[in-house]
Amino acid sequence: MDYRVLTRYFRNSWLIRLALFLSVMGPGIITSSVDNDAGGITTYSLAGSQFGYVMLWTFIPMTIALAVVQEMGIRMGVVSGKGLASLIREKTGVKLVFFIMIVLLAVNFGNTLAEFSGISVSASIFGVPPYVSLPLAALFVWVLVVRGSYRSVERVFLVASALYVTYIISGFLAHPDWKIAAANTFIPHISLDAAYITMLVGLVGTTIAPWMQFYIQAAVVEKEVPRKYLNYSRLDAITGSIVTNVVAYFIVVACAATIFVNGIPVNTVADISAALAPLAGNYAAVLFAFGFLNASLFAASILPLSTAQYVCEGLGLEAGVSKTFREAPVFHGLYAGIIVLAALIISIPNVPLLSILYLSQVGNGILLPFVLIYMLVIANDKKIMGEYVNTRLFNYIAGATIIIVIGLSVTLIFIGLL
Amino acid sequence: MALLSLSEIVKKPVIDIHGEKVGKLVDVIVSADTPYPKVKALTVRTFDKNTLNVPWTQVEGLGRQIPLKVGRDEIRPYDVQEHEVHLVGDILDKQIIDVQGKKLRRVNDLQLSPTNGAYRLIGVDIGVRGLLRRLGLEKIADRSRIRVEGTYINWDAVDTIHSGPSALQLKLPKHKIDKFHPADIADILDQLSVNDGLNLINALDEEAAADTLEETSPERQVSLIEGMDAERAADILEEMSPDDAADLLGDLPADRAEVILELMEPDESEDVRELLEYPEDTAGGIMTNEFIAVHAGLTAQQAIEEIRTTAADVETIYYIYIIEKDETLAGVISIRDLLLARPEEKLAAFMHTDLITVHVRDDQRDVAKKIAKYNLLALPVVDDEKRLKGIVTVDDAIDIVLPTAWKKRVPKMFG
Repeated sequence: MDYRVLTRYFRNSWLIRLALFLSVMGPGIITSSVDNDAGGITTYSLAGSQFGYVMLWTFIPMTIALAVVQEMGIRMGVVSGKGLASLIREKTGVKLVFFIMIVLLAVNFGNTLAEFSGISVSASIFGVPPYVSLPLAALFVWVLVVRGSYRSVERVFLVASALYVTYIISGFLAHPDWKIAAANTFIPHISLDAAYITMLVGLVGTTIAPWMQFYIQAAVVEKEVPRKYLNYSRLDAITGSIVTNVVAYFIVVACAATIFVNGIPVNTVADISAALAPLAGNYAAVLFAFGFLNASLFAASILPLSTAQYVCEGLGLEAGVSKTFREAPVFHGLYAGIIVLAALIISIPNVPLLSILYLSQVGNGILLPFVLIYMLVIANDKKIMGEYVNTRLFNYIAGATIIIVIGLSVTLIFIGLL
Repeated sequence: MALLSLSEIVKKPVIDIHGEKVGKLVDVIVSADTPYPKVKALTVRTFDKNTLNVPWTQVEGLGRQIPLKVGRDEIRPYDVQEHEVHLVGDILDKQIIDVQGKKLRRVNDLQLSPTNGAYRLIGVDIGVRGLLRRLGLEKIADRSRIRVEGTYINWDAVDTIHSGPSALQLKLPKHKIDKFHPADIADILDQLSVNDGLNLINALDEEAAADTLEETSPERQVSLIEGMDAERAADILEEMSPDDAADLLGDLPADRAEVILELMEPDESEDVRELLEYPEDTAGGIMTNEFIAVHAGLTAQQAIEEIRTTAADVETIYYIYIIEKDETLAGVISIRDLLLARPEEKLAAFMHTDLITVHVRDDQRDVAKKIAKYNLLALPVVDDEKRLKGIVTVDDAIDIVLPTAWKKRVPKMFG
């Protein structure tokens, strides 16, 4: 249903605004939620387990940066009605798009691997072996996309986004020390310890990822949000950024209050879930594992499809699930290839997952500045954006984000080399 | 001289008559004339970062180097006319409409052909070969003997789309897309961004725009009408059949719908307003109030005369409904009955009186079932007093079983 119709029945301007918000809501919240995917949750829970509360201060600046970047994507999508890949191509030509697409493909494939490994791990926590969970998950992703329309898929996704509340509950069940948590939220703790910096890079890298910019813009374009409702879409982006960081915050808090305080060494999500049970109760552990499954499945539904979509969009090839293989060979090849290959690789015992994830993080880090810089260029282009060009404040925040991201990426590569 | 690809000359050095470098070629300006636009000027980026438009009359030729006929100081900067097109800025990497394939394509390269000392734009490369050439990978493809076909479209089989932030009424020079079936235009429209779609629909005349809108999904109709100037929206809605217009207006915010209704011709807007009264999923919500109704007292000859004068704008004239003075439905005849009847015969004598009707508040699915069951082309809709309020035609019944949104949903990311 298009909630805009509701405006006919409401006299109260507050209710009208709510109906309008509901009608454009989705892209921002979904993108931000997918942001807390298998890689994200792993990073957040390890940050809490290994460093306790000291990393909480990063969430306020990360929320602001994410909100600014997401808002730019939404604004570009609403105003131009085009995807980011199309805009970059029209602005700069095919070479740069080709480079970005190749890296994006590699990075998103790495991310998809992480999602399938997340599915496999969380299903094992519930006693479902990988050879059952992986094919089932691949099938689920396939059916959801082939059978669903954007509107129905979006609804499934919004429900999935709501399920992230399990992490907030887990956070409370862990009975954290709120005084220390609050103090660490507002007072930055800076350390030059290599492990600390690596974790910092991981946190930022997993919160602001290149694929999100392509996805959020494609989603508002697909939703055809009219320009005059841009402000509601902006609210969607900002709400999404806040919600996602609140969820991440509670994951860190839950792990800090239990695993870190008791000094239990953990390296994977399975360790964390197992460690949570005696410390915070079975409910917290089950909720944690369930949230992880939900997040992995959710992101696994979005990444392969959206990747195939942007690559074809950027190169001007036919795309769309309803086209036949003959009509859109590259699209179908990529889409099926990513899912099948990811599920297969994760089925291999002892696959060097950590190296793969590290490489995909590096790829993310290399790609992100390019994507952000071109977003900034396009968002300042009067020919494309008309009166909706960036304000100066936005340029400052986005510029600072780009500089920090570049700095962190360089640091990550440097630490990796050492 | 052979054909030239735009990608072969872009970024190549421009040399003046004394052999001195002036700068690099960054764009090619062509006239807007059809079918094959002539190159009018070259845009050169000089080494001091200025751009300079060199008129074609001062250019010696095109190639790996671009020699000029004059010295650097003798260049007379070309004055670009309003309708002239920048090949790199306006066409390359942008979307175009392939008129023959009736599809949206992205331009990978452009082909120029030398004729009588001038170059003309003759074709668009939309294939993988053009893509590889742009990426500098064409030679690799040749060497590895991968068969990569070039896919070209003739320039006269291409329609351009004006892109930009402003969804202003920009009349494009002659559109070839005009000759498409509205359903084909709608397919292309669904793939465009809303702004480009608006430009396309604004370039069509009102009737074509109305037919095209009827073929697009309800969501797309709403975004287009909302993006349009209200006056133009009203003109287009007047051309739509009242039931489709009512469905569309029903999906718009109430204040916007009211503005548009006010701007429509009173007799058109009255029909639409009447239909808007009924809930969307009832017979009243899907019926049209354009139908042919005559009085029972007429003869066949008189009835034909009357139809001739009143039926020009009515979509379905296969059934002629016979009404009493108080508008209650008395009977129905088909065009066939009417043509076969003797001219002086009274309609009352041969009309069918065992009528199949639905009530305005009946569920739309029951309407579809009745149409299917009795194999009708249209079904009369009556109110509590048995007055004829409208008809539901078979195409609208099909839309209930196979919703337009489903038929027309154009896949982007999901679908």
